[in-house]
Amino acid sequence: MIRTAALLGSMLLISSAVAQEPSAIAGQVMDSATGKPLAQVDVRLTARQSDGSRTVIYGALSDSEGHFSIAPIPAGSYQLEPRRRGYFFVPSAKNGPPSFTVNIKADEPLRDFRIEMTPAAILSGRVLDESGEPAGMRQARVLLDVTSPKDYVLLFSIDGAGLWRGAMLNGRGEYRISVPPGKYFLSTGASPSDEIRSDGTLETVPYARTFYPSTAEGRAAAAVEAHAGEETAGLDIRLVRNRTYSIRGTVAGAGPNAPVVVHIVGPDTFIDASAKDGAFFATHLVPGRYTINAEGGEGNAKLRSPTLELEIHEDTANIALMLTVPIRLSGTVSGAPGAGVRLGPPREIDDSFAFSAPVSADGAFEFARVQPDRYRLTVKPVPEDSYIKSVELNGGAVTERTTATVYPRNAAAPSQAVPLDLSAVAGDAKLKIVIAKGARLSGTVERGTEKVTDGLGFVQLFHEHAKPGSEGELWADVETDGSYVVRGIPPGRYHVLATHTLEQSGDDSAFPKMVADSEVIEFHEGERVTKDLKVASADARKNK
Amino acid sequence: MPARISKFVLLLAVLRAVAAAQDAGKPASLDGSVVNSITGNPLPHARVRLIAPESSGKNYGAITGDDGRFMLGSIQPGKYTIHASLRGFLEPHRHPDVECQPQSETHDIRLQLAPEGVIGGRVLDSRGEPVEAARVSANSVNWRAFVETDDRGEFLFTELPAGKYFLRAQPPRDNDDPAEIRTDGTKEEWYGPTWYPNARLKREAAAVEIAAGAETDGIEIRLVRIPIVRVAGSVTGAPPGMQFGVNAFDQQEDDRAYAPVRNGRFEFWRLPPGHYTISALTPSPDGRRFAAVPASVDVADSNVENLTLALIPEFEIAGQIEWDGTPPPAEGLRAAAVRIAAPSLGEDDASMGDGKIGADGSFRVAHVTVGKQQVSLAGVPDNVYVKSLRLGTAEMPEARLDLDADPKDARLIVLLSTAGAEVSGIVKNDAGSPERAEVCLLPDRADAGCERQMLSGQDGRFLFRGLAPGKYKLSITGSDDSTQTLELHEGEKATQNLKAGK
Repeated sequence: MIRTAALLGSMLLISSAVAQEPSAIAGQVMDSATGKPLAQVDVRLTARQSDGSRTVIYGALSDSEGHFSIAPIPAGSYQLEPRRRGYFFVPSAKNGPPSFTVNIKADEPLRDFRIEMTPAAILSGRVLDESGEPAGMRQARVLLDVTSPKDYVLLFSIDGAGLWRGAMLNGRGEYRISVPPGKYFLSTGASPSDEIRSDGTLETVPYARTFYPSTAEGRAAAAVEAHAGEETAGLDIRLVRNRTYSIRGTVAGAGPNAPVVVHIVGPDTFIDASAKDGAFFATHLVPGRYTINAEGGEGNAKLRSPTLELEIHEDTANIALMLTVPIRLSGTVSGAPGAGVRLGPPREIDDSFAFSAPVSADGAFEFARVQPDRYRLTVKPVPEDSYIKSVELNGGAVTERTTATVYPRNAAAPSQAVPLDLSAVAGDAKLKIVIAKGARLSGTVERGTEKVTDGLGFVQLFHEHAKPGSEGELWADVETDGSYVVRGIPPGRYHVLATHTLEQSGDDSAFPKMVADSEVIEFHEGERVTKDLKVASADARKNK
Repeated sequence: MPARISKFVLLLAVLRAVAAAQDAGKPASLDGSVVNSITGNPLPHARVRLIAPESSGKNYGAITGDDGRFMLGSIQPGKYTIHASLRGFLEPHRHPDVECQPQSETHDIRLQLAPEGVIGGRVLDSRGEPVEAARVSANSVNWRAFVETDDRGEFLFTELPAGKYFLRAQPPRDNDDPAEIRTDGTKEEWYGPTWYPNARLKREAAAVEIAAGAETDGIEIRLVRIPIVRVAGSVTGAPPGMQFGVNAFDQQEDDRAYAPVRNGRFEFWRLPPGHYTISALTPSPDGRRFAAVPASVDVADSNVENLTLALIPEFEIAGQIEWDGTPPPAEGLRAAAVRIAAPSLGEDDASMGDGKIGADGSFRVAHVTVGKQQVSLAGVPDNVYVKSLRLGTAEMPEARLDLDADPKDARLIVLLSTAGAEVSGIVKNDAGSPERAEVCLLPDRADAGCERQMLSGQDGRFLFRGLAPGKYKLSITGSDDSTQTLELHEGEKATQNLKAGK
């Protein structure tokens, strides 16, 4: 009964598709090692939405002869995810690029679809510290503390599949990983460990990311062979210490005796080094990418240096930081009455700080004290259908329109953002931001002969001169009434492509051609274009 | 075990006395030994760390010799926490802080380490096949640990303090997948979180008891099959473009799930059977959140459809404090605030607002959302409790607001009294020794969660003050059997000990 109810619910969702293009898939599952049929495999076919969430899952269980069958199933493109404990599904690269995607056509049900499952290989061993004892931080814990993740072992496949997976060490420093057969590198990223110095002080000396058997150098790592259905045991990794480095440099621009702190942030590192007489020094930096800046003075007289980004792979000297006087950043925004202007960190995902300034009725805004540095400038809200047409800094163009315009559907307060580099600015800075009305494209989307009303369609726009294979800059979902609206299109010529989750292919190489084959529409400032679209179908793709 | 307590009290006293009696002129130093708490034997090669409370301070370390002794010298004066560690052992409790006076010597600090307990076993499905990547937790009254099963379904807990543990296994997580549509007559199997040995609910679970240093192997958890059902509905009133989701929370089993809202709709799949509160709370990019009155649903063996959650913007509640009887002196109320907070319904949806109480007794609490809200106080003397609440003309029982809309102009009158009751007691284990445990005090009502919580001290003591008169349940978190019911009268000082058994 339960199953029926769940099934009905899902059937409703795709009922139009079933009625439209019912098809079927049947075949056999084999054990790739023995060549014999494999029973009890859950053969799953999943249709995904553009955001990766699963919408519909079809399944079948292979019988004692390895046979499975799903019928009816709507024609379309599915992710194939067969599962069985102790086996992996490793799509073969023999017949073209590896693919987890199955295209089921309306007029050609798949009859003899063959799936090969590969028996898992087991790799096991321990992670040992320098003294040969099993590693694993022993931390004093407070009551009700949730066990923190322990050290882990990572596997890298040599066959180009990249990182395969990781495994936690158990409390005895042991690991056990189940992987598809192949050649792997093993590495472990151990937690920093306290080391007691002979002078009684305690230092944190991190262990390096250590490759099997015992090296921090990736090129000295030994490959490990994992055989189908077998366990390779005794793969002990002996940790080595990270080589650490020192940096030294100078901070200019601070008054005599003014307190100056240099913030050094890198992998597992947060050091505040104080600079004495304009010089700073820090040790125990593990190799990696760092950001460094200096801060001096107190309260309102506080000065900062622009942020320096650098890779540290050796002892580094002569790092020159210069405290700079905050500048006054003023400017105008035209085309967005009621907007505010915001300065945040350059990276979109970083929201560690933000300064906001309101924009007056005549479009003027001002930040009285801004440290010369790199930022991301956001204007919000902007009127419907608008985009940042240009940004000028002290009379020169700042940047091309590099950032994507993300319009959540029906967004009441959409924002527009551009990167803004003020690190080389001295004195006052004047910005001129022009927001202009872009174009709007709307219409309906059909798949086959029917409107797309299942919520699985979307429309993407690609600039005519965009790099092939790049993401669509502008997009909109197809609403459940079959309509779509793409807002704020900067003037220009764009490829317009309507796609559907069930028509998507795992074969990425086909996509640039689909884009190239789609219709090009030219948009002018403020224009409203109506265009009814058809979903580019798998068959149409093939025929071209 | 009672010896443990007295030892510590004594130790603390000795430390202070020794430290105070030092001659001037010598550098501060400290020595002592690390011993096995069960056998009393010295432990060689243990690591001792002296850690300064501020990050700026210096830390010190030493390793014990074959006789279990350690020495630390050249210590900067100050207060330090001291820790001992050794593979296979645990700190049974926090050691008393060490205070190093300038140029003092502190001798014979005795640090105990308890041998670890170990529990190993397997997770199996209903056919007896091992389950890989299941998440297993070990829960006692004062400990919780998580591990994952390997390809053989095996798990291993190490570093466990002695105690009674309830083990719970959860199948690998892709539990928001819709049910598989199958046309071949087979059924998709799905398993719910399962307590050892094969119980769906905590109250049917069996405990695994381990002594200090004991190893228990062969614990098999057989997962219980559950139906695959869908719980779906819609959310209305969301601000355009807002990205948010809906939380499902089963308080009894502490099961939580999250589902994103897309096109105003949400769906949960594969919730284990239980009684759920479904709630929605949006983020607040412009400082204003939206919340919906939570829905209650029983998830059993059929789908739940068409739930509706109506989002309403958060609002402000203004009101006035009044006193029943003599108010406490004004200086004790300078930092006083009224707090309106939703009882926790899960991780992401807790909401809270504080409103400072002015000299004239008025307050304003911003960021209040709809739903059941507890009204409490911050920064008031410990004996103060909320005697009654009136919102506009409506009396609100049990210091709770049940809001389904912005009360607009209705003022909240909070009547306070200094005659709050109190309950104190000691947590003891089966052997009669005091035990640290999380103690929960909750009103004796069906839907009530923990209203107050505290961790009992080394001596097992706990104390709750400023309680409204009424019936309460007192229990140790995670141990239903420890529950005691009691009735408190205004101003009463009650005593109730708790037993940290099952």
